[in-house]
Amino acid sequence: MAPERDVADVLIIGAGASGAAAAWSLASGGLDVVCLEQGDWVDPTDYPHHSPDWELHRQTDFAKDPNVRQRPEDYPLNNDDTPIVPLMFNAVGGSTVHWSGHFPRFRPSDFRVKTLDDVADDWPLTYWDLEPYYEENDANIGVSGLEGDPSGPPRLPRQTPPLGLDAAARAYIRGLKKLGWHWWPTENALITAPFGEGRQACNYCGPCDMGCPRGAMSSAHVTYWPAALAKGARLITRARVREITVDRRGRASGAVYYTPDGGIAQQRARVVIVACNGVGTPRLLLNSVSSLFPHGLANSNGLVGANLMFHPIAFVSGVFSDRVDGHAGPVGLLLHCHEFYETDLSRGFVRGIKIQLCRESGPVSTAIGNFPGEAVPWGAAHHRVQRERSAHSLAIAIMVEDLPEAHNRVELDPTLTDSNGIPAPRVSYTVSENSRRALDFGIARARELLEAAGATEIMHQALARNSGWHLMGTARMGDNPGKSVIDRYGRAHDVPNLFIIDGSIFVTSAAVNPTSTIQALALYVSDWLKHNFREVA
Amino acid sequence: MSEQHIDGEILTARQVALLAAIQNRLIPAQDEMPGAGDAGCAQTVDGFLKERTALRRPILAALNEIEATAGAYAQASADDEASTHVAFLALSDAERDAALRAVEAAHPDLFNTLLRQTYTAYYTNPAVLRILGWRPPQPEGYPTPPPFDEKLLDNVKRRGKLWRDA
Ligand SMILES: Cc1cc2nc3c(=O)[nH]c(=O)nc-3n(C[C@H](O)[C@H](O)[C@H](O)COP(=O)(O)OP(=O)(O)OC[C@H]3O[C@@H](n4cnc5c(N)ncnc54)[C@H](O)[C@@H]3O)c2cc1C
Ligand code: SF4
Repeated sequence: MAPERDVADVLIIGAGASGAAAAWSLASGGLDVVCLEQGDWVDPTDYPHHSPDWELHRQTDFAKDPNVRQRPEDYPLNNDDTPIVPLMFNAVGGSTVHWSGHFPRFRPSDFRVKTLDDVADDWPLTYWDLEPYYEENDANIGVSGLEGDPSGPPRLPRQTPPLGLDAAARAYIRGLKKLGWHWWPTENALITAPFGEGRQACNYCGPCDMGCPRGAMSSAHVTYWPAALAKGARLITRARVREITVDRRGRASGAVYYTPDGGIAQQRARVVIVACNGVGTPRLLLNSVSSLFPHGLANSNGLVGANLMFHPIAFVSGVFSDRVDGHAGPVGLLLHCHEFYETDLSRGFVRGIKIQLCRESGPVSTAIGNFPGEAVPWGAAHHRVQRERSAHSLAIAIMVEDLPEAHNRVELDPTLTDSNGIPAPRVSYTVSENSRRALDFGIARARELLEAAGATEIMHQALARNSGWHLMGTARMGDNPGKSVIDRYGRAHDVPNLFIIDGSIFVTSAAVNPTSTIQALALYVSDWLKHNFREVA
Repeated sequence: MSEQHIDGEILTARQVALLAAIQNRLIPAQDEMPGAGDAGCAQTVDGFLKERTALRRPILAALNEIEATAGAYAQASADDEASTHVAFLALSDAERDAALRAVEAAHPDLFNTLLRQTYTAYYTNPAVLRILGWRPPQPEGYPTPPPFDEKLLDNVKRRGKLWRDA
């Protein structure tokens, strides 16, 4: 237990993508940083990749849905009222412990949707404000890819080369060339050549979504955390924060947390940073009730928890007569197509879509129809169809920009709690008409592409339920205190020494994966805090 | 039937026998491939039920539905009572499939849970994986493909900038 009088310069709650980046940045700046994380370090021998039943673990202890996984450090979610289930991992490294590592950046237009397309709101900052932090983050963690993609601003050479040219890539490229669409090798938070200490390059084993036993994935527990600890940051694991405490002036004074034995401890700090992700952060703020903040911390305008955005996802799956070995290589990564990324209202929706050309996985994934949403038939035809699809299938993910809507939200469930008795989140969400049209448009394009690539059978899943990978918007950033929770520097409008840095601060969601932007924002906020620490603390 | 089947951790010997027989219809033996029941998938699913309590209700309900449906068939075909201790076992293959299709149509969620767990058990079974030539992803991984060829992107590059200034 932390001694009563241990007052850290900065307390970070949550050791995931954003918390880790901030811990490194602030500790490098000479600040005394303490981080509280409810999970633990993942034991490298725990990864299922070496075991014949590796695919079973997707449904059990390495499931992405905490309600299925039910590890002691997980908290339950009430998902009765959402067609998309929030997915996450609770450990040092957070949800980057098992993710796909697709690492695109937002584009300049993504920060300006009100000005350009008259929807939602502009961000209070621009792509160009974040650009140096995108570069710094990439250099810190190691990103593979190829610079020069004409679908976004130029960038510095990537740290390691793009993934190689395998049968899956060749199949997709065949189709893309016929159609004349934009495509480019994906940028990935994954190293294809030596980079960083104690990490091995990717050996194309496949199931990154259950973690990477080689440290090839640039996950926060193998990138930022070792560096942050070396700079003196202190990380307290298995410390589940119940609430952020405030002093009489309404300033954050620290946090109360549960120790592994169920005891209660307190960590005091001059500045508190919340980095618990787009669901965990509003949950914690709503649980931090006091006489000064009766509706939850930083929630005077009721916007904490509102405007939840996912990226609604459809999968379109193609079967090829030749082998494409979809199981060999990082499951979520290969190529992307940004042909339909910027707004074109003639398509029937505003904003755009990303077409992400992915692979498949092992024989269980094929049999249960993980991507196509259609299982291989049972009975006499089973073996034939399984043979036709297994190692012969590829899946395309259609990702659409989700616009913020106040009724999509994270609240506290009146009865459900975690194992420490802390109220759990309840998620209410509906897919908007605009997102639905964008998904349908994307499904039609993906079908065209698979056909052009020579697929003999094409199936699709119109909306994947298990796809709430990206949790955004629930403590949005903005200059107007009536319409946002934090200001342009990540500081809560209501609480001058409280910062939020995870995906909950997104104003809009773009149509690309969020984590490079989450980490760039965490570095940007940390930089500002380092330079203004005296004034803030 | 119960000579070959003993009680599982969660399932009774009778339920293990029923499940194995069902699984042999879901994934039947064919050429070198064993039937799922014969490969021991009933015991594997029993193990899943032990670990994952949330699976118990749907799997047990699916078994009950299938057995009840089979009971109706068995009565209709007026088999001798003694051999129908597990009604499903008294049916012909075609009748078993018809019973399964009836339950699949009436209770798709229950049936699909049973099917999914059977598929998971079968395709994580070391003997099955050996026949199919699958090995765990690590430590070998898969061969590194040839390096990406940037020339392939010439046409894309020629199109020029595809993003909006903002
Ligand atoms: C299967 C999967 C695939 C994904 N693939 C991609 C991808 O390809 N590209 C991409 O950009 N993104 C991807 N993501 C999303 C990415 O992982 C997240 O965007 C990113 O990790 C979010 O960072 P964060 O800091 O906001 O939160 P997280 O990384 O989720 O970290 C939050 C941390 O806070 C801790 N915490 C929460 N509440 C408390 C509390 N009360 N007390 C103490 N600790 C607490 C949690 O345990 C957790 O460790 C994927 C996610 C999943 C689940
Ligand atoms: S495919 Fe590469 S990055 Fe993914 S888990 Fe395997 S080695 Fe790691």
